[in-house]
Amino acid sequence: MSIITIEKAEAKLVIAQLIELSYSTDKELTAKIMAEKGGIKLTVDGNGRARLSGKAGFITFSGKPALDKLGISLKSVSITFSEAYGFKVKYYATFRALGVSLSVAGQFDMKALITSCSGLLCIAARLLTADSNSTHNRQLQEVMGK
Amino acid sequence: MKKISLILLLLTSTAAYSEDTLYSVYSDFRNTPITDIKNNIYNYFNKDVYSAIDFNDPQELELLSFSSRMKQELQHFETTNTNRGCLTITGNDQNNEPMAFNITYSSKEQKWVIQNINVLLADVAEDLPQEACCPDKTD
Repeated sequence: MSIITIEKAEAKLVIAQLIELSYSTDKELTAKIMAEKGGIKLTVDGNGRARLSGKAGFITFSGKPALDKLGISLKSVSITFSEAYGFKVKYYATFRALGVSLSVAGQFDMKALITSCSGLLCIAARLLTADSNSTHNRQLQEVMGK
Repeated sequence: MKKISLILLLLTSTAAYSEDTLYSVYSDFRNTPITDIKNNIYNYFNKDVYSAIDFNDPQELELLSFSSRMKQELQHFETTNTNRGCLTITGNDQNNEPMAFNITYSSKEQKWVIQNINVLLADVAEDLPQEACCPDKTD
């Protein structure tokens, strides 16, 4: 098995799992970073050390639980996130080995992602759909790092 | 006049290396039987690629032949200098979803060999490159 055999669905699952791992490490900061309008980067080195970074700061965590499932030796993974429109976030992910790499480009719905998790992010998701003039909305702004 | 001569000299020197376009090299490779590729790996790849690929795995060899993964070819773009070149081919995969190959070639004994391969799988055609992209610069 090499990197060239990774399917798109597999790569997307790894991307989602890496974001989940970041959430489980620091929910509040992950939410703040992912709510930023572009300039977000998630990298994993050859030893599985992962880092999500944005204007709000950075989070380091182990990306191994997500990458080990691929069963492939990787040199690095880099994912850039940029704003598409509304809750849509565009991403461009590259999985690298020596001499060969696989990239996946797409977008996901941030609201759908955060409603699939628990804790603070789920509260944020419920607040996202609240009346814009409500106290919930003000809470939302706090949660998402105004 | 001196400037024109210099430009002509530069153009001649960059074109003198190989008359083969990267696309013609790619097309020849794509049409080469897998067993021939396997038996002449060093003629097609540099060491980084052949150390990254398991050439004994039929599935990987199949994917390396490019044509099995990209069912429909749409556009190609290339850029070269004397010892390095990048070729991008866009198209659709077997599920009719947009994809691209970004391939870096390096010169080896007057031939272009594959130095780096990037496979891009996209959800929408708008995310496909519209120019030659070198795999080591795809971030």
